[in-house]
Amino acid sequence: MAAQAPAMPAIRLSWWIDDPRMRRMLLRLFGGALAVFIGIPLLTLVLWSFAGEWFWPNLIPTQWSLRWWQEVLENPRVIDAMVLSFTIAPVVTFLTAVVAIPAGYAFARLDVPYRRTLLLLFLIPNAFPRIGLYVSLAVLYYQIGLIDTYWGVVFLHMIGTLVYMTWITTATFRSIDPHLEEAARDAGASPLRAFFSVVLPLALPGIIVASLFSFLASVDEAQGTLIVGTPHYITMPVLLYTLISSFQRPVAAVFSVLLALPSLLLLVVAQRYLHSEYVAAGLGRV
Amino acid sequence: MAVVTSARAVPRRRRFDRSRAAGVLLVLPSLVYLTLFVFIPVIKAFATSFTVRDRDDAGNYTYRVGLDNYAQLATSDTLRANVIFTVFIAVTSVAIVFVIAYVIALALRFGKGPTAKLLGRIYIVPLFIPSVIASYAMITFLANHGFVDGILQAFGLPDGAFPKIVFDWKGIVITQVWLSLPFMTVLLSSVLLEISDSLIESARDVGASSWQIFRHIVLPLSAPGALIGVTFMFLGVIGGFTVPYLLGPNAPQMLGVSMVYYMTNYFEPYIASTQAVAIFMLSLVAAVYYVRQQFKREIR
Repeated sequence: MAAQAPAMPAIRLSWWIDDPRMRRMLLRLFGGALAVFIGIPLLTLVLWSFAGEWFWPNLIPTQWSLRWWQEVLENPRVIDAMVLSFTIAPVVTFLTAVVAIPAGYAFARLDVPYRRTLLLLFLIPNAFPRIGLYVSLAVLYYQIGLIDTYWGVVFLHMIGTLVYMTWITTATFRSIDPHLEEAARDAGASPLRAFFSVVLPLALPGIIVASLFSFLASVDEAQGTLIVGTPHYITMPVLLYTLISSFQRPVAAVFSVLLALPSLLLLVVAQRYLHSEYVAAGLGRV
Repeated sequence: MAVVTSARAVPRRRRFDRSRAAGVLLVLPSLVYLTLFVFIPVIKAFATSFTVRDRDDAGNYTYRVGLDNYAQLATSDTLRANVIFTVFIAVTSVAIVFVIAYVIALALRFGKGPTAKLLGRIYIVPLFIPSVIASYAMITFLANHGFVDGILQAFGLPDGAFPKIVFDWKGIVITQVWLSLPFMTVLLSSVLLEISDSLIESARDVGASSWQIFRHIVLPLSAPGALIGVTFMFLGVIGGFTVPYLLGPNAPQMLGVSMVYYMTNYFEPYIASTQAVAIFMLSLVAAVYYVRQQFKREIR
């Protein structure tokens, strides 16, 4: 293949890729730069949350303090937002599971009519730019009175989680050997019994991971909730918008750390599953 | 139930029918949900974008069908600038993410040793950071009198010489890159894993250099899968709100921000819907490609 290509430019372009030592050095440089780019912004947030006094251009706080943490945790608005976030997320996750798991099972195992068309419909929500979808939904909410209501927020959160969980459960059910279910049926188990005592336990790890991500996606959803939930349904990330805009740097930093904790906890727990592609699609944060 | 008691039915056929009925029943709830909360709102947004509201001298509103909203989108300098700005930001961020993610994915696929391992651990972190937090972290990091500015001061940069990154297009792009890196890398890694080692080894055996292998084997073979990631991220950036809202300039605005302002501040659902439709149209090609390719992958 190389014969047709003019030799000189090819060499000039590639000398540093073809030399293993050069390549290793460049990779190290790249890795270091990436670590700084990803890590330091997060680190500055953590520093800010413990800063008693931090006058620019000092690179670390000149005085350390926990008083911002105290202030945030004693603020009733913060408590309200936390309570709301953690009462919406379980409901969203539960409803999503109830609706998505049967659909996932049907797509994986049953002979659903128009299966291909239906699967296509399930991809479409991802193909609409989210904010366009949310604004369209808000226009509808105004007309049917769901704007600024608890259920309005719950149903909005379900747009992302439902599609995601349907895809994950479809893949999970498909990976389970159908013979196991058939054996249970042959032994006299009813379809429901075969599902609950054979298939469901095997699918549980996949379902749990999908549920965790749904829970987090709901806790972290900000832009849609801001549009349909204000002024009465202020979840944690929506409150963070206000805190950032009000330029209370340490307060917003404490709150950010607080809000990031559940996700970072999951990062540790979910390390095992991270190589799977669907983890990335799951958070819908792209 | 009638089917079960029917003597004419062949057992095999009967099971088939029940399976179909059960399938419909199990899929139905999610289909109803998607219809009510995705398909109907989108169709209504299209309808609303063709609705024009007129106010007469007495202050009463009258409604009619017309293209006025689109005319306003096309002729208003502000709105037109917003459309161009949105496309510019989306294309720029996707291009940058693609290059960085490709390098990480290549290192993860072919690299060995501690650097590749470190890359594998750090690139995933932004996936777990909500975009509001990421935006705020970037503000403290890149603002004038922020962290980077502080470091440059220590190296002798005069105060005030730091370029404006936050509240400017650069801030949006950098934060989008930060946020989208994990997804693109995961996707490209999985695409690169599908390229077999034997193919690369045989190319090496006939004397191909690393660059030639990349240029003539890895790049072409990974292109279709990579395009799914590109289109998906394009859709994500073009439909984003949080990052441009917190880090963007006041003018021009990305469509996501301007749409929400028209919706909640000016209470102009008609113009807001028109911008939503504009966003759908801008992303139509990407959306169709994404759905088609993803569909092929899932069906396979």
